[in-house]
Amino acid sequence: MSAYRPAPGAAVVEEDDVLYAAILPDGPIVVLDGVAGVIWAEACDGDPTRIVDRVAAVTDSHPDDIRAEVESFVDELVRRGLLTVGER
Amino acid sequence: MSESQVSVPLSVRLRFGHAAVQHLADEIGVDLLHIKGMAVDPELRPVAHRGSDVDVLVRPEHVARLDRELREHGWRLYSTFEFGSPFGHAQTYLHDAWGYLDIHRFFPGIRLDPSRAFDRLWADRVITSIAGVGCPVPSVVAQALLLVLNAGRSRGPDRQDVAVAWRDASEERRGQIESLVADLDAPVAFAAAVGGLERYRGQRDYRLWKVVSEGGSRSEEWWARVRAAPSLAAAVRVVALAPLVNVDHLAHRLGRQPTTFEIVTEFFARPARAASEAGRALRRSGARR
Repeated sequence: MSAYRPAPGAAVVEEDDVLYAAILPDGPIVVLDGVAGVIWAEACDGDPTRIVDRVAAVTDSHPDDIRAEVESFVDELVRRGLLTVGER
Repeated sequence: MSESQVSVPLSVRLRFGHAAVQHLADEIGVDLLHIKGMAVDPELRPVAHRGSDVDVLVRPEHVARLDRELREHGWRLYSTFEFGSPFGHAQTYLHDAWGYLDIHRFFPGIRLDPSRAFDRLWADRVITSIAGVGCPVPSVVAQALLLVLNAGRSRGPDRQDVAVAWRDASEERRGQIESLVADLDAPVAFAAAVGGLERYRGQRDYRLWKVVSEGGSRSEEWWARVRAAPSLAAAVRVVALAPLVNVDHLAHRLGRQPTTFEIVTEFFARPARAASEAGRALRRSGARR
């Protein structure tokens, strides 16, 4: 089954409930606070086709209301080289 | 998602800094040990004190290669080995994302040849994960010794490290540290930190450790450096550097690269300050007679 995970060269630090991610060795550091951190965590934790449902459950939202934002955000993380998708 | 230079806590930035430097070292096959700050075992730093920069001890033969790689990846030279400290041991870089990095080509207080000393520390290294990247660090015993030696040239909060790393250590741990002091030939610096420095009055580096641990004028520091040099050639290099302007320091004081005129002006101002210091010292010594 395919899944998202931190890309090779991506480093992640969590401090005070905020996630920070960076591409090594040049940066920059990206702050994943609030819902951004929730999306990252859910993207890296389970079936990629159900990310929207999991984020909706955590944020008490309706999946259809947040689908476009969540999917475009995950795409952006992949585009920036922070997340990659591959076989588990 | 936001990219910010101001909202990232220093502790986070430092962890990424360690990871970024290790990433580069792995890519080009450079051996280095992460020391001080974030890399210290929590057993030795029960109170959070994460420092303000990333410190690494680099295998001396690999320093030039790491320097080239760092500069290719956005690390700007901030101060040089020549002007960074009385020991000439570290060079500082600054990166827009990661902050400050000190690369050490040897550790002050260790008199064993730097390559052999690195081998000794490298042999007992352990791997610790920083920001998910495996970073080699010295053994806990070696970390304790490095903290103590570092405290020996500090009159600030680093002195607290002596309490945890040495005074409160078990007999067994103390024995291990003393054994490493002997292996690395570091008795004078060690004594400067834990007490008993006067036992080493006859040693060439006694005066330098006296000055850095207890304070002294710039002239006293320079003479101490000359006396501490391990060879005549090294002593000559120290003397030759003495009249040079610390361009790094001048640039930071001005907030920009100094002009040739400013360097020349500083060149003539420094001997005047040194002469004034010497005059004060002479008057002090005359007053004691």
